[in-house]
Amino acid sequence: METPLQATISNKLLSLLPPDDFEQISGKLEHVLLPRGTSIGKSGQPIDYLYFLTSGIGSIVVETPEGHRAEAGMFGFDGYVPTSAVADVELHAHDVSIQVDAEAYRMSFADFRHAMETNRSFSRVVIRAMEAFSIQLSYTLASNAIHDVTERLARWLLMCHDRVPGDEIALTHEYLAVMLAVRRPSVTTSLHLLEGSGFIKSERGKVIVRNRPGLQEFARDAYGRPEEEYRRLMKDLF
Amino acid sequence: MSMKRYYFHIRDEGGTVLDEEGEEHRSLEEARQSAVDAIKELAAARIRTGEVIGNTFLDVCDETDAVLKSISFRQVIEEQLKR
Repeated sequence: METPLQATISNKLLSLLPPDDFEQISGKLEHVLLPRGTSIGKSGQPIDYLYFLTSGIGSIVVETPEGHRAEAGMFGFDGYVPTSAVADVELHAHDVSIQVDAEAYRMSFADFRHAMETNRSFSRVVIRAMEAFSIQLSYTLASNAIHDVTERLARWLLMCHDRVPGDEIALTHEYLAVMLAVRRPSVTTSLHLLEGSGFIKSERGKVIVRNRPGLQEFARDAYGRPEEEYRRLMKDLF
Repeated sequence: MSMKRYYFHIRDEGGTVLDEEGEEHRSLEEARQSAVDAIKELAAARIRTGEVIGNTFLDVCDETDAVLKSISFRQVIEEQLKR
């Protein structure tokens, strides 16, 4: 297994570690390709690996006892999954899967727990990331209660846009409907509204962000706080 | 029973929002039911924000763009009021 060079790693958390602390764990990191649709965790199943994405996007999805689904959170190069591992929890609480083709460094659950116990910098970074993720979750929850579909969609597109290079996001209306827990025609209508305002272009199987500042202004009540908090939490850590 | 793809276009005086993706159903009746559920969600959202619903229709079409069924939002809301 090739040991990664910290300088070339695109995962924010791993790149923040002081070099000596990174050295301690670098041998435990395995590079993997995760195409769209890959499941990296199922609710109730043991956590085999922790994933630090270097590209792409993953989703954490809640499924209710009667089979209803909604996305709880999104992660990319900014974080890691599953966050529950820092609490020494061994089972996945949610379904986690990849929604935009990703690459990642993964670490076994045992190696992760060992690093948490022996590497102060590592545990500091992942605990901070878990807090940042909790904040994202809380704002998603609030947005789901307060904002209409169009605004929630705008927020979601901005969050995706933050995590991909370029302006294109590959996804179907059906997929968006599942993530936002609405009916597909509501997605179609909302995309149409955002397109009418010039913020995006909606094409078969993808959305292209055309006016990021405009989209952000439109979603100003729904998007931005978790991202500010993340920047604040990850600054001057070491 | 084979699945067919149905397209749900939303039409009102301002124009039509085209559904370019569609969804699969086993029958037109199943598609119609899905369309009614979608209308309920769309209409409820519009009521909440005070938007006009007036003359909005959901046209259920096949791949050839033939309109198989046209359902008015007004009709769906009136059905609800009768309950």
